[in-house]
Amino acid sequence: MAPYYEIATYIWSPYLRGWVSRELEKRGIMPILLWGPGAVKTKYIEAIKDKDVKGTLGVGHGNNDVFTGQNYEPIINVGDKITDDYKRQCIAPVSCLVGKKLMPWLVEQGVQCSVGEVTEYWFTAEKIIQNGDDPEEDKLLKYYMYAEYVFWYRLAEGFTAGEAYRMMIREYYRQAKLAESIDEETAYYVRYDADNRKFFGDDKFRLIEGIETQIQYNVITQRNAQDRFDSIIINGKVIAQSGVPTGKIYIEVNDQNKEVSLNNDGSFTATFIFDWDKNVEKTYQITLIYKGDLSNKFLPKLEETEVKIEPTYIPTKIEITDIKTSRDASVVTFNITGKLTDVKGNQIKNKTVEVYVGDGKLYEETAKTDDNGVFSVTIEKSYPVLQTKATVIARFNGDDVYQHSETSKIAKFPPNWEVIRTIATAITIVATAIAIILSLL
Amino acid sequence: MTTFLDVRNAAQKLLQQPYSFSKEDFIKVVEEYVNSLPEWKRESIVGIVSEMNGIKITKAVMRKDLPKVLREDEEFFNLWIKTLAKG
Repeated sequence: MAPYYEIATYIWSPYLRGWVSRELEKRGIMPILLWGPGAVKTKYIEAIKDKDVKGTLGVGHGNNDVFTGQNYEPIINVGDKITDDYKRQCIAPVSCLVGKKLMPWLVEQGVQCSVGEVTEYWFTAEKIIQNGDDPEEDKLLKYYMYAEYVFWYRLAEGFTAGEAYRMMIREYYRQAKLAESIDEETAYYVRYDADNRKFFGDDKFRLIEGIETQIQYNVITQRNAQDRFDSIIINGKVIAQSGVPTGKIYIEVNDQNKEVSLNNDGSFTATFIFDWDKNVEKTYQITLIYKGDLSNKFLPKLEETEVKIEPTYIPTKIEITDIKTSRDASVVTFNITGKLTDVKGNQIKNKTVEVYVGDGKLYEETAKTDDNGVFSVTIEKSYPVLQTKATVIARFNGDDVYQHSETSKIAKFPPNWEVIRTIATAITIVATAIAIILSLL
Repeated sequence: MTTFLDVRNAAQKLLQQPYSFSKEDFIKVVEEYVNSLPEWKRESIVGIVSEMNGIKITKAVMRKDLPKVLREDEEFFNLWIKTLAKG
């Protein structure tokens, strides 16, 4: 449906006649083009009498109740008699507001499926062109073109309407992202259109028939915190109701993708590696598209899933390997040496560790581990005369890769002999004096 | 330089604070935005494929004409501002 009578249709319809028709033909679908004055209701009703017509696409002004053609002539109205000619179809025009009432109403009347905008469909275009052979001719409209017609191209390739719709919406958002650097207004409308473009009806509807396929798959995720990357391994098998599917599977994980040939038994495997800076939860969107092999009747298949990889921290072990103590009067000096390793015994270098000498107020020193994971600190602290031991604590607080670890050890040191000797001497003198006094009595 | 984001913010402001920020204030922001665009973008078209209850008005305008259209076409103004304020 390609009316051609005012600016919006002058802009859009040439691409329906050119690029869209050609791309459908390439995929084995021969469109009937209702161009300009031919985009009227009588011609439409005549065209869809052909039993091979299974879809209606095109552009036209619309509102809640009507999709129009040339000179705003209503093509499909809420309340129309919906015959079997309509009911064979999926109907998905580019038109404002038809998703609000008209498209769901058509599905209620028995139309297979429909797609429509629940608000206005906004677009931007650089210019009015004549041929519409290549979306690249318009630096702005191309983003809408590349997104919108994914629906029909995927249907033509054998995907279900539900799959084609999901791929179209995803492409709208991808195109919006691409448009951001060219024209933020265009990017906004492309995203807005995607947000408001809705699907109704049977998501299993297909334009073409063949052997149904399924993708069975497993996703194995692993975070390597030490080397700061995530690995995602996807393996699986494409199976069919009969026979072994052949061809290729396209796998996309976030911004990476691979195309993998199926093995003789339909199996496949692919590995993706993602580097990261911060050890935080990451979400990976996974899309698997078996492209089908229509020459062998195998239909394509789309699967989408999402996996999250949680932060993983490497367990660590901190040890106090040696404590040397000495005492000078009340001051005790602790020379403490230790080692920081990971759970496998690998030395962890260049990390800050905290060392405390306990009992009452904590005395703290920090040190960095050397290339061998070794640290050493010296702590001086005053102790009461008779105290001969203290708790030494070594602690690694962890970081975004390594886990926290802590250990403690009892350090022994001599009492304060100087004071003890002085007291003993004093006691001796006093005792002697008392003895002398007693002897004189 | 006035950006499209400024226009969207102005649309929201107009809807939220219509007494302190007028339609004309909004259109001035649009004018600044349009004038800051390169020539090819000023000449480009913004449109919708809408048929408003039987009113046959072409809702496709050149961006350089947006301020004028917004002043003269209440219906387009309302649709556009509603769309911009949603994001």
